[in-house]
Amino acid sequence: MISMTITSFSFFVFLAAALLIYYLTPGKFQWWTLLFLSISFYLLAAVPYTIVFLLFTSLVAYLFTRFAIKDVDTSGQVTLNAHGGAFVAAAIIIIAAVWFLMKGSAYWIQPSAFMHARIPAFPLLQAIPLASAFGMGYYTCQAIGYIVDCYWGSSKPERNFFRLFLFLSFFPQMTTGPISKYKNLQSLYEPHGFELERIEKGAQRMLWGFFKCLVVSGRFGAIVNPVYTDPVNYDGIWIWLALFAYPIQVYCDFSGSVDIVLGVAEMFGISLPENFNNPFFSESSQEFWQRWHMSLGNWARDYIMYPVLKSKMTVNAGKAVKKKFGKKASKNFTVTLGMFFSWLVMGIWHGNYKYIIGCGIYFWLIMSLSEIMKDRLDILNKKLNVPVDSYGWHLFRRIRTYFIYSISLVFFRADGVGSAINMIKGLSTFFTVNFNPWVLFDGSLLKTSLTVVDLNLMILSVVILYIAGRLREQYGFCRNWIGNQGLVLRWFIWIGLFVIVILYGNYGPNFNASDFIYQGF
Amino acid sequence: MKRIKCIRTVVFLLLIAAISYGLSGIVSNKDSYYYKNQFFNSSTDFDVLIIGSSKAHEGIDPFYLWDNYGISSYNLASSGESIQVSYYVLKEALEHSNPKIIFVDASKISDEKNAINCGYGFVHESIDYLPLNKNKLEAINYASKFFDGGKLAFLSNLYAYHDRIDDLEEEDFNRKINYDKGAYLMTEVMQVSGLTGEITDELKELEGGDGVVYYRKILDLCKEKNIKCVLLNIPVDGDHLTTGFQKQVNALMKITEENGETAMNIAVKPELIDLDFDHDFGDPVHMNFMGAAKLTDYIGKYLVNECSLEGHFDDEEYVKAWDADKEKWEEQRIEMLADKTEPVSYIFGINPENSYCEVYMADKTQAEKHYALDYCFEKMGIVPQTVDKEEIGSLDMKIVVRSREDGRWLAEQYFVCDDDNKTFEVHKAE
Repeated sequence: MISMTITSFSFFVFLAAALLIYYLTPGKFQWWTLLFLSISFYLLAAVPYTIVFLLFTSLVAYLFTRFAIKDVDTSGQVTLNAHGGAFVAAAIIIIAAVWFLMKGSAYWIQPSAFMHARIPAFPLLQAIPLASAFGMGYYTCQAIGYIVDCYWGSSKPERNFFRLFLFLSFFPQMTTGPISKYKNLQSLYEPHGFELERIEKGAQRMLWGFFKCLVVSGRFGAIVNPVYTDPVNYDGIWIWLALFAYPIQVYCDFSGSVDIVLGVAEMFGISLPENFNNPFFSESSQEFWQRWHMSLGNWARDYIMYPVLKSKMTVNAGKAVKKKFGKKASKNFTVTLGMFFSWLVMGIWHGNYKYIIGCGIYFWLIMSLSEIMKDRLDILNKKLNVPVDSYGWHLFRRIRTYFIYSISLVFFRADGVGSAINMIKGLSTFFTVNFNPWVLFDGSLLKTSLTVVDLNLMILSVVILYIAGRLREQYGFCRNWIGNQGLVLRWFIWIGLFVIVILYGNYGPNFNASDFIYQGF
Repeated sequence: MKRIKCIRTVVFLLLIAAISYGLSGIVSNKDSYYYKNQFFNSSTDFDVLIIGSSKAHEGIDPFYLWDNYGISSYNLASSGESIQVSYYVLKEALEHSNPKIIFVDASKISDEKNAINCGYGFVHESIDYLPLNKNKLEAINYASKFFDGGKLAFLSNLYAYHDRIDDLEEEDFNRKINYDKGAYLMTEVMQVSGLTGEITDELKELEGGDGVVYYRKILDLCKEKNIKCVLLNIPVDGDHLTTGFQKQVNALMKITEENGETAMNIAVKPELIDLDFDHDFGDPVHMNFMGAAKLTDYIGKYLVNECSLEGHFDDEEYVKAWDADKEKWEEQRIEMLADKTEPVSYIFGINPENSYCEVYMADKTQAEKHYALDYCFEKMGIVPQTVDKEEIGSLDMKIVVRSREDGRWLAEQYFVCDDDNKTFEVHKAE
């Protein structure tokens, strides 16, 4: 096992060799090459034997859909074999169970520890003594999505196991996702001739990802990490700083790594789904989750929320509510119910109770309340003459959404639910115990691992991210705008970004190359 | 159109490569360049090479050998360098030079298996400036096993040093080279403990650690190239000359002699060079320029008397080249005074043959309190002058360096007594 993080030199070497082999392979065999490369990558980057889990999940998805589904006609009509539904359910349960055993160990270890502390006879469960599987959270979702799509007739069950295996193991997305749909990834199997422009575009995307991952993320982490590691010694404004810095750290780390992944895939002519779309421009939590980790949100919407909404039980319950409380209440009830399960699963996917609370339940409550209160708030705004079209109001809504997400991330970053709650309580120390805004001005920030250059870079980075975000809103992608500029400006921008990454990136022997935050899932 | 696009891409990539190359040069650590540049660009060959760690780096003065014996030598030793790294440095050096004798510092020949016994930064300092060829690649291949970052951390200076961007100085843009033929002579004076412990002639049973294996490789290389190899155990203070280390050196001496080579165990016989533990050390494990002069003189006599090595005083090419370098080195010595932090190292930093110091003090009695300051005055023939404090900027001491030839001003520095009134420290202007 060698260091194969997507910012490592080994990965660059692998990518260069992979591109060479891929484009030297005749078109109709290219997907076999991709499969070979994906398996090689897995064996190099992960604990090799854990590929068994990937193989097992792929086999279950392949065999059970083959057993369950007889045919899907051109109109998407599905003909099931005998006990087809049971096979589909069994496949999902088996695949989810493998994930639960390997990645969801916190869900059974923590309760057993809790019980064991009170009733010593209660068995203290331990994690399975096997290495953690690489990319399991992502390929598990893809496999379940594939099975459900086949069951619904949106995809045809794959006849060739190796094609399905490639879909689940495609190497760029094994690191940090995104979660793809089978029908949207048919370009995996299509021949691609070498195109310089494709390589250029991929490299540009990768460079942008490196900027976010290597230059920005770690620097914001330098404020966040000490506060979370040693909360006793930090209070007042430090907690607020950590609160507001962490979303930027996570965003740059996660979206940057996804940019690299998308750039790599683009070099092979494969378009993976976007995972981020200027999330901090969102004016509501609902909008935020349509812009943040979009592939997981879409997955939860398609495979959890919609099935819940369409289920007989929900429909019947909705009818009952409608009868008693009216149409509006019925709608609120069913949507809230669907969202509950959707958020619950998204929380569970992250692998710990704290995520269920901080990500799942928290956002479910926020979004449900906002849905229920929407009309009332609109009326209130009108009564108060709030200028809802003004820039100030839009800015306020963005800041509010950012703040709501920042609170959620406390659960994400803290050691546990208790620590997260203590950290949130600690926010009040700024107003009660230690009002210390001078920390921002008296050089205290420089007592962390940050230097003046770092602080300047952080400010510059935020400005660059904002400009890039605005350009993305306007031109689809910032690079589209850059591509329309003259050669001098274009090269100045790309070379400038390259120089910033090369000089100010957190890489090299003096940098502890910790995994990306979302690589653990 | 397609062709234009290809050309444009190639130009872009060349531009990126050129920028990377330029940046790499700027951010890389210059120590290796600083100390080894003169060796790789010398117009004359060297009869003697010195390899090893800082003890040798600071303990043998090539200019002393030249001035007194006409021997052409280069000090390739480097801070913290283990014998494994020295082996690769020597291998490369022998591609550029045909020395007759090599001195090997015994202090970093470790008997530990699978250990490089050398810090990451020290490996860089040793090999960065070696040309990228088979020898350097072999060195990288060996060293990279012991550090994070892999081979790339030694192959690419940009990769290794990009985080120096915050610490860049004038020297990073305007490279300097060391004219002291690779040596670094300390001018500080520290009183260290003499040899009070047991001196043993017992031998350690060597376990064949990496250091020993590589020392044998050096012996083999010297044999192959018909070069005399001398193992040198350089003096340290009594506390650092442990029994374990002595036994190990004794065992290495045995290997050396079995190979028909010579070993000099000066560390246990400091009387051979009349070493003064009160004044000849810069710190407990490194001799200063006075200790280095004594050791180098001993080596010089050995080279002339035992090895019949002839000097180059009659060789015009050598004389011209060494005189030119000496002139540059004298200028560099004056420049280096700016880095001295206390008066003893400042005064000893000059060459009394061509410059002298004038010392002005507000209170001459303070000199007694600073270790070796009186000794320094005496040695350099300085009589401090008492002046009003106002005349020396309300500080405690001013030293002016002048040329012996015409009395012209060369440098000056102000010093203040610290709170305890025991030492003088350089005064840094606000």
